[in-house]
Amino acid sequence: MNQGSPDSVSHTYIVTVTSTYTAQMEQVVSSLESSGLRVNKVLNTLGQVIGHGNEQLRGQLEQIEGVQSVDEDKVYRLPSPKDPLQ
Amino acid sequence: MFTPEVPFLRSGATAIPGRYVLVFDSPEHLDSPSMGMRTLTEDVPQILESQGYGVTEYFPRLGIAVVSSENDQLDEFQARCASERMPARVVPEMVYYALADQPGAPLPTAYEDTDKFTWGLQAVRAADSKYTGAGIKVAVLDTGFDLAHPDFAERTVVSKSFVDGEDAQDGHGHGTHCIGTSCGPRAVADGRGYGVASGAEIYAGKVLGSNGSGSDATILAGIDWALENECQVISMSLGADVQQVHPPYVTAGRRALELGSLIIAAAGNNAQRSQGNPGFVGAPANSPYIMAVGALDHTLNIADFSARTLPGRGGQVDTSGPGVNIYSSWPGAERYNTISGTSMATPHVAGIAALLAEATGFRARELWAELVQEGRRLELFSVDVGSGLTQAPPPAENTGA
Repeated sequence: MNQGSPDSVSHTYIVTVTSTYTAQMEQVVSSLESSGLRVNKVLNTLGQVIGHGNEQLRGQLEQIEGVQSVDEDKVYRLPSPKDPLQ
Repeated sequence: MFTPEVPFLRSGATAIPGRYVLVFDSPEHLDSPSMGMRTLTEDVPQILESQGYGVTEYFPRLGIAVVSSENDQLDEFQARCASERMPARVVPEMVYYALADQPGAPLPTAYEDTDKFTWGLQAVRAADSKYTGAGIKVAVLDTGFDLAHPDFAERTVVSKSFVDGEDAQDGHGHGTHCIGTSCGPRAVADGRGYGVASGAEIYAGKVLGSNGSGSDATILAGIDWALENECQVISMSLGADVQQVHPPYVTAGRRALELGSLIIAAAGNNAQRSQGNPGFVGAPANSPYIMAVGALDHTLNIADFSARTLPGRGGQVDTSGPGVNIYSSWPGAERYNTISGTSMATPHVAGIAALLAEATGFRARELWAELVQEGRRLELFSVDVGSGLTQAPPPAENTGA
């Protein structure tokens, strides 16, 4: 779990770009950056952007033209290699 | 001299002497404008009558006529059709009987590992398949791969790590095991063959660290990479026990299909059926455009841990594969390991997807449909096993050559 006040905690977000905007990824990415998203990676084939910022940022990003959805990065974990059930 | 098409004589039905079915169609002429509705309603009856056939048993919507005919009359008919470039096939009319005993030996209901093959390879009928996934790229997004594994020395393996500070070498074992099942060898010098698509090109994307953990950020980056490299099959033996559909995977699954690829994911191991808990399909397998795979044991029963269909769109278990006591490759000196999970069932299906993709040329949605259609039906609930046990393509139909 994240600790600390919502403002100070950095969240990783998956921003999915609307299909009609995936041809203009650069434009959408620069809008996301102007809103305060610190971009880690642009997935051009999928039309998704991975970045991080504070908790308030999510609502702002969702308002940007060309943004379909903004989701928090989820963690997946495998059992230990010694576990017979994988 | 007219010779009816050979495959029809080989079937169990009986031909009626002097009676023939004329089919005005040909797969090679699907786009031919000459076989439009007007041709079928006007030109075909004219040809039939002028060749001395009745039209009372001609069905214009089907483009099929049933006629009585002498052999030489058929020869003339075929010459006429050839001269008018009209595709027509002639087959004997057959007598059919109500279905009783089905031909063919019953399939085994239980499998064991042998000296030559794992039980899984036998159950999915990959052990003796002539298809190997040649020309098909299979991406396995997992904990990476043991790039020094001797069983893969001759293989093309493209690897990439999406985990910060780690290379693509598998420090867990899970990824090497899954790649072994989906794309490993069918013949091993000192042991049994364990790989379904033994001729596929391997794309090993490390999206889970050696500690076994990763996040959407790495997994989606792996999918993006697989699509960029035009992998036709993407195998993901990973998931979280959450019921909510996670939106990024809805988009990822849909865009993969649009780009000619199919994502296949593990349904999840959250069931304890023996305790009355059937579990549910977790994310990302519960996304509507991602195929979810359940696990079967060697008696073709549902595995105790294999998750059940989650109500709601995309939550279905779509198909199943061998997932209990699966022998496959493992990193380092151990070299092999036998483990269980829907994680092990998933690469069986991914391997079969590669064989079907090779055999049929189908991609994306059509490949999904083919996987489901070819599955061996089991007398189990569809909410648990979907379309049943995944199966390698049957041998090509013998056309009498």
